[in-house]
Amino acid sequence: MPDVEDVLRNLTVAPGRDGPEVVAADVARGRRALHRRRFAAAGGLAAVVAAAAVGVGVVAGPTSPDRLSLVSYTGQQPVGFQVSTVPEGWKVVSSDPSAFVVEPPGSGGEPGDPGAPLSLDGRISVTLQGLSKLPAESPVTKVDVNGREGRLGHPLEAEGKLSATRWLFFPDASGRQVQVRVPESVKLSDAQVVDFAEGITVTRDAAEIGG
Amino acid sequence: MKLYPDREREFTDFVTARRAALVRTAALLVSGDTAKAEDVVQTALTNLYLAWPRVRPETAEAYARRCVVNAATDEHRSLFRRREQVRAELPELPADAPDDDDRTMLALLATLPPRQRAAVVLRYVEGLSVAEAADALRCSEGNVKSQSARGLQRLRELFPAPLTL
Repeated sequence: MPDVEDVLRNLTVAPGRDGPEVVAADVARGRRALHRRRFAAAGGLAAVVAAAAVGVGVVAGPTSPDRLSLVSYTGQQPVGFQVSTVPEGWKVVSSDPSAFVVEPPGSGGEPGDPGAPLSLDGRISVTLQGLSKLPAESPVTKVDVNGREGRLGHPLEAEGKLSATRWLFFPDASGRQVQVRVPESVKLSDAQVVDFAEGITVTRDAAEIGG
Repeated sequence: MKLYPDREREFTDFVTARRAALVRTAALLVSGDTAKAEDVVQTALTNLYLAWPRVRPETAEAYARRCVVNAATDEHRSLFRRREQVRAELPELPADAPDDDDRTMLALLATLPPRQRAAVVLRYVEGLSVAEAADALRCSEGNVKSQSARGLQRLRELFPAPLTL
């Protein structure tokens, strides 16, 4: 009688599917799962914000059917950051080593005018800073940003009243805190805000500011 | 929505290098059913992708194996397989099992409870140490020893002696 351990040791099974297209399908399934998970988390945030509106008077904007699409960014990179994803047609218009702004076409921002104040209304701003944080009144949704925990919530518009602007804080690969500010008028879903944040890389030229 | 490009490349390289081995492990855990093994591996790799930013390169293989074991266990527990399968005869085997001993052994493995089967597969087919198998099964080393010993004993009782003419 053959030894059972020998049979087990030499046990063979039919080989499974293999090859680049099979691996690509595995990767695609992973991406879809990641998207679903983040989208579900973002949906949870919307529910929490709606609930919080009752208590602290949040200004929650209606869901917009004309949501923006995110695309790869191929324009000039800001100092201190690498940006790989922006809303379609948008561009980086202002930069210094601690921050940059992304704005839609036709907004009129000029990067060569550093002395002029730049309104953040209708623009996404990104800042490298370690001091700001979400107010205690804000609901907080923990999100996955490149495998690190980000916190998505709202600043205060006035005492006891949350703004509809979204703030996302997340650590970059070296642990420095990045803040993404998305005003209500920018029609990105929470999952898209996370997508946008995942496309931001802080370089060694960046300088952290307080705030 | 995807991982950082570098991490996604690492994941792709890992899957390219290790997929065949994971399918083999999965096939052994589901008693040689290659279609079911493919389902198990797809589920496991999706879970691995989600966890990939937190997986260290030196533990990636162990983590992937754990994902496969979990997915195979879940597959067994799925709605259509909840009832214990008591059979008078050995279960049907895939036609591509290569020889009689292998076909018989795969059929016998299917009769073991899932955790016992997994312990036997990881210890005696894959050749993992007790510690490695315990990590994959998320249980104590003592549990691996007892499960694999019971499973092996059961296989010895059932594995047929050759016909004498």
